[in-house]
Amino acid sequence: METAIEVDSVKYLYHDGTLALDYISIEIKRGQRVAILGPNGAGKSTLLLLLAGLIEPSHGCVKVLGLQARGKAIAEIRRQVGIVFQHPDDQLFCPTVWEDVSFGPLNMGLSETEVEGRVKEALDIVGMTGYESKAPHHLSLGQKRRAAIASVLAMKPQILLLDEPTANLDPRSRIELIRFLNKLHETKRITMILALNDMDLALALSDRAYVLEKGKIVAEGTTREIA
Amino acid sequence: MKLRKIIEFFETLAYTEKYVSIQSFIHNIDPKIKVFYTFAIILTSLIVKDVVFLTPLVLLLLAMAVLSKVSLRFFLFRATIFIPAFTVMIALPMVFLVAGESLGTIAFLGTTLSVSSQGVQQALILIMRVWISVGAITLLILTTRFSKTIQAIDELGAPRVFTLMLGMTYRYIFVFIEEIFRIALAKEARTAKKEGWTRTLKSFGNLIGVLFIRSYERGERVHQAMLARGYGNKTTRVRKTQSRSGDWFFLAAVKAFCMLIFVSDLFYLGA
Repeated sequence: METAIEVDSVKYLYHDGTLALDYISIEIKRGQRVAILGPNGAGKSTLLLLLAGLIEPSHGCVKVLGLQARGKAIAEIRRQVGIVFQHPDDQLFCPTVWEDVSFGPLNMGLSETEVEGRVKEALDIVGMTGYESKAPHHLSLGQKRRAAIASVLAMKPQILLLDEPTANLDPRSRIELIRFLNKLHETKRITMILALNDMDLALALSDRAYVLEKGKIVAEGTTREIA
Repeated sequence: MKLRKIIEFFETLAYTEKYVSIQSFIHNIDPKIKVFYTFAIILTSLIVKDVVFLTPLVLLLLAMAVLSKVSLRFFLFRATIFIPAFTVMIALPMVFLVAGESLGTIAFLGTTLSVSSQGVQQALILIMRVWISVGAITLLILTTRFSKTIQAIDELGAPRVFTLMLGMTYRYIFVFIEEIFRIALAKEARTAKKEGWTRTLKSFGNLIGVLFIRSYERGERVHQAMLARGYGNKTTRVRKTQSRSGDWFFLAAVKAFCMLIFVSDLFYLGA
């Protein structure tokens, strides 16, 4: 199976001296669903930011789809990797759902018709058709989360990164989101990497898991083995 | 609770979306046309130099407000609320400082201040200009969804960074109001006795500080979300609003009216 992501001996140090990642190495194959497990402050979100090409490692190398995450390759990596942030209010920054979902495709320089088509398709996948002109502040948290996922799917990424996708959701919205993510993986065979702190959720959404603690990988294997 | 009442008051002022869904002739006009005539009305009010010729612009706005079926009372409230707070403070000294024919004197702190007719005229012009500008913008806001106004400005060729910032400002007003409410509620939950104004003002200061830090951190996260979706690359513009012939006719009528006022003012001053 082809390698989608390769993290080789990566260290990440924040400006205030906090060591977020301590020489970690990870390899993720195409089409896999991988959970990054760990308590708050373990370095899960930092790892996702590195994989999305939003920050660069202090040491080591990150390769995404064969491209080293630095310099000119960053733009291409951002095109191929979609990241869904933990708080949808950080991700939905436009006045309407349509504008938010079209933000990525518009930045890709696609034609007007192609943009319209992608927005329609992405909203259809997440079950948000009819919400195009809604303002994000009028949506429930579950709907905001779906709109945030649509805003990433509209760019047709090959890799999807999700940071705590079910955080603060009520049980029903949580079950709906799990079903939706499973269906998305079945139909699109998209590579998914999920930062989680809930083992049950990891079992429902992933095949492999890495356990992070204080920036170090302390366990890895199939999610069942880890559980 | 005083703090929450203050926030609620500003919330009502900042956004009232209940009027934008009304069906009226003004509401149905293409947002691009609305932006055009709003700009034309404001520009005319800035060029015209006499109270007599500013009055028709006030009447035009009132007529458009009636035509739009929005509550005239609410429109007048929104258009006038900031006049005493900001404009009068600037206009009032003009009444005494501008030289001209004296209308009378007022004794103030041991000195005598003379009121000049030119000063009164200039103060009135300033107040009317501000009212017309705020009124025109208020009418635009009350009759057009903000997202459509931004779309119209974008389609008119405004830089993408400008429309994006405008949209984000609007978007985060709601997020911050929710955040302020949560902080105010947390504070209220730990307030056992009635507090005085000094303490309320101190709490308000703390709230502003906390909000500043939170908005800075949110700004960082939003910027990352933008970069992740290709911000900074060349973007495509999508046209979503369409003008009908009736819209153009209305624009022509408003522009002709503004032109008539401008020309009349020019001849009146020249005479």
